[in-house]
Amino acid sequence: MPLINDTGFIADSWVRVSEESTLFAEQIIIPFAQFEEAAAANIKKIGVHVANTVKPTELVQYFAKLDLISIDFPNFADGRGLSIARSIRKAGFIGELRAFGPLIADQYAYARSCGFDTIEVPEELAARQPEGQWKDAGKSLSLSYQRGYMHGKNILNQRSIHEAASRTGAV
Amino acid sequence: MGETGWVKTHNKAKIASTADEQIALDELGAKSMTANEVVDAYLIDIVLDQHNTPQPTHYRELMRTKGPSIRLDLGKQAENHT
Amino acid sequence: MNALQPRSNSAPHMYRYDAFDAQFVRERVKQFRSQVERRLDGSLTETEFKPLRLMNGLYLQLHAYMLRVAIPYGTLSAVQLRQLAFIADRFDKGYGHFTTRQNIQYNWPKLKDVPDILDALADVEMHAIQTSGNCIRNVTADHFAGVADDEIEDPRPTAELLRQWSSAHPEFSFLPRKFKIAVSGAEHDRAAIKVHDIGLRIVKNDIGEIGYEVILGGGLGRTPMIGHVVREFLPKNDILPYCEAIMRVYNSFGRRDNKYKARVKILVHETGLEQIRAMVEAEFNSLDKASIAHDPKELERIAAQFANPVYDRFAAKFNDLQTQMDADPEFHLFANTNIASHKAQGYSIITVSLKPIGGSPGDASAAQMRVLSDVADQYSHSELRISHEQNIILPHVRTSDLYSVWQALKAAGLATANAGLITDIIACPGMDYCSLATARSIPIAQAIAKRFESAAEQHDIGKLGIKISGCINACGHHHIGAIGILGLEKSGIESYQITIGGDPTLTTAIGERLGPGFAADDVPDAIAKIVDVYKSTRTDGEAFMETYRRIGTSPFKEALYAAH
Ligand code: SF4
Repeated sequence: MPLINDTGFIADSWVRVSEESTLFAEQIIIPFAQFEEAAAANIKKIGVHVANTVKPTELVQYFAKLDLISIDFPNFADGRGLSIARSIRKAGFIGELRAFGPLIADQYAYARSCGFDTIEVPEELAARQPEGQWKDAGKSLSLSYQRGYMHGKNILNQRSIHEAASRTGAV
Repeated sequence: MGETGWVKTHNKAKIASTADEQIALDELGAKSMTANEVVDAYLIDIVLDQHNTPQPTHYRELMRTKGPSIRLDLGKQAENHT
Repeated sequence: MNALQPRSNSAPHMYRYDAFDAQFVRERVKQFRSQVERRLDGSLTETEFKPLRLMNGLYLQLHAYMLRVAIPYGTLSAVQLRQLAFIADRFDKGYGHFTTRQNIQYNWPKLKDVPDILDALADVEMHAIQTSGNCIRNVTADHFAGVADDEIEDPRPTAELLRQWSSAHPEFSFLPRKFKIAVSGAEHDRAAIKVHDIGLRIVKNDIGEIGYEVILGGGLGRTPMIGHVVREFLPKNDILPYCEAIMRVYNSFGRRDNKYKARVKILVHETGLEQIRAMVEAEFNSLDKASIAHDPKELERIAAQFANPVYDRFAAKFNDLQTQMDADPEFHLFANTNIASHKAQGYSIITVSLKPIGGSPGDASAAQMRVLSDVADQYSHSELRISHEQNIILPHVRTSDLYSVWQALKAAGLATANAGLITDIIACPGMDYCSLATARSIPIAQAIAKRFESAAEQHDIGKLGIKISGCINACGHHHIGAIGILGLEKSGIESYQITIGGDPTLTTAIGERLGPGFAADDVPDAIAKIVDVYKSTRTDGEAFMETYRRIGTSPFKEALYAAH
């Protein structure tokens, strides 16, 4: 399915492996339940796909062995995946974090802020919302009010800098 | 939905009297919503008044055909308001 | 005019956008403009567009779209109110409706005009951001904030900090359901904080520090619940991390399988307070607070802008009010109900009732908005407030000016002397406008008000709040009305259920249902019977709620339902 990052629509170097198929590719995304099996099979890079009901704390012990975590979005209005992403980043995961499901372009910046690197959307949705819309939506709000999130220029931090600068007479 | 397409008032609306006709109209509504012609289409219960004009039986839809009951100068009823 | 009393036409004493806020709101408008275009060209389906338009306050109602504009924590400048009047004339039908959540609603905007309306709002530092949708809604606060004589601290700086923090929140914009926060800084609760998802009460601890009591899980709607204290004292600087912790727990565990069970109150109820507290505290403790919390200087920066005007010391010398009241009985009635005491000597707070007998509760015409702006410029430091009772407040009026203000209001039909009385009815739009309604609310309010039209009778009955909702969503707060009326549908006709004993203050109580519903035409009679029970049982000076607490519901039930 179409994959999006900051540069636009990109080729996917990962292969999603379902329960029945054999593990052959170098980089595979498997259901979380099959992780142990894949880890034993000597595969170069492993990613897991998790439901949005997963407890982020359960994943922490596997971080070192995972190059990708894909979080399921059953529909775009279900924001649970955003909190999971944020918790996973907070717990120190540095691999690729991918949102999987019918997210809309308007959510791109939010997903990035919460720690996602890529979004994998259904064909139908990508056809309706082509690359340009994702790029525009990603830039539409250049400022944010929440500290500690990753996207956009933070207003509170900017104010602190200004304030400190004006106190030392730098401005 | 009238004979020749969507209409703004209910009195020229198509009427379904059988279950099949209901399904057909419902599908038409769903199609028009997907096609972006209308925003919200649904079937309502009606009776025919003395001029053979369909009138909703439920007070909610009746209100829709007129306008706010407390501001007779607003909504569709405003056209007849003096 | 006395030379010692210069009239203030200065900028109002409230938060002003800096360049960042201004840019943020403009970008949000631009974003919405392109979302509308993408809806029209089919890039966005209606299902996808709906939450986006809702998060910009745009509903689809019975007859047209409806745009809900935020009036953050109810504070409004004269310039802003004038712009609201302009929008009503230019893009709507010459009026607006003030709601129980300190918003204003326009009932007839065209979709294509909405981005222009949002730009017109941005021109005066206003917006419609998050007045709807499953996100953190417009933060509300005590409408007497900053001027109440029982205040520990002005709640508005906190509310403003939270307004900013919740705006376009990347993680909490697709919640299980809407989320409402209210802040109070006074001893008396005028913001109904116990029936909000989060209620914050500014308190002082044993060693004199100021912080927040955090109340979680209140709410009205289908399952009314009173909020619980999750944290007795939260240091001021922890407010953002603590809110983030609550929101993350809610976003992760709030129910999404049933929209009637999706509010945080249900999560608290089903999980248990102790368990929820443990979850919130665990999340809170896991956070790197320093990276999330606001710089204390930021709150100071905001608070400085809410600093009260410099009041005239000589204003306190005025002592002719009683004489003026005695000389004019009509003014006397007004002064009795619509004037509250101000923390500065010689000043008063005026409540301008938007509940004229026979009017639509909370509605104001563009012309009335302009009169109020002018009055505010001349007499109230250019500042106004919107109360959750759907009235407008003039917060800084010299007591010596009260009579002049009253005359100006009277000329504009805005001097109804009924604040807090039986005809000061809170009513949601109901089925006259709202697509979710099961029955009408406004005509019921009008019929009751007409029934109790006589000023003498209203004043004799005294303080009595009637609240009406047109459906179970309870926008009219009927559960917490001394008398609550809920409009339902019963076998194809409107039917009204009456509750009694609700209380919106710190002693919050949910009203008790008296029995089967009444037909629309019978509601005024039913209310009259309830009032008669009160009048015949009250002891000297006893208010309706006091009598109710003393005698309970049975006498009222009997009066309504006993066989004749
Ligand atoms: S209570 Fe119901 S009818 Fe009234 S405004 Fe809210 S949703 Fe609409």
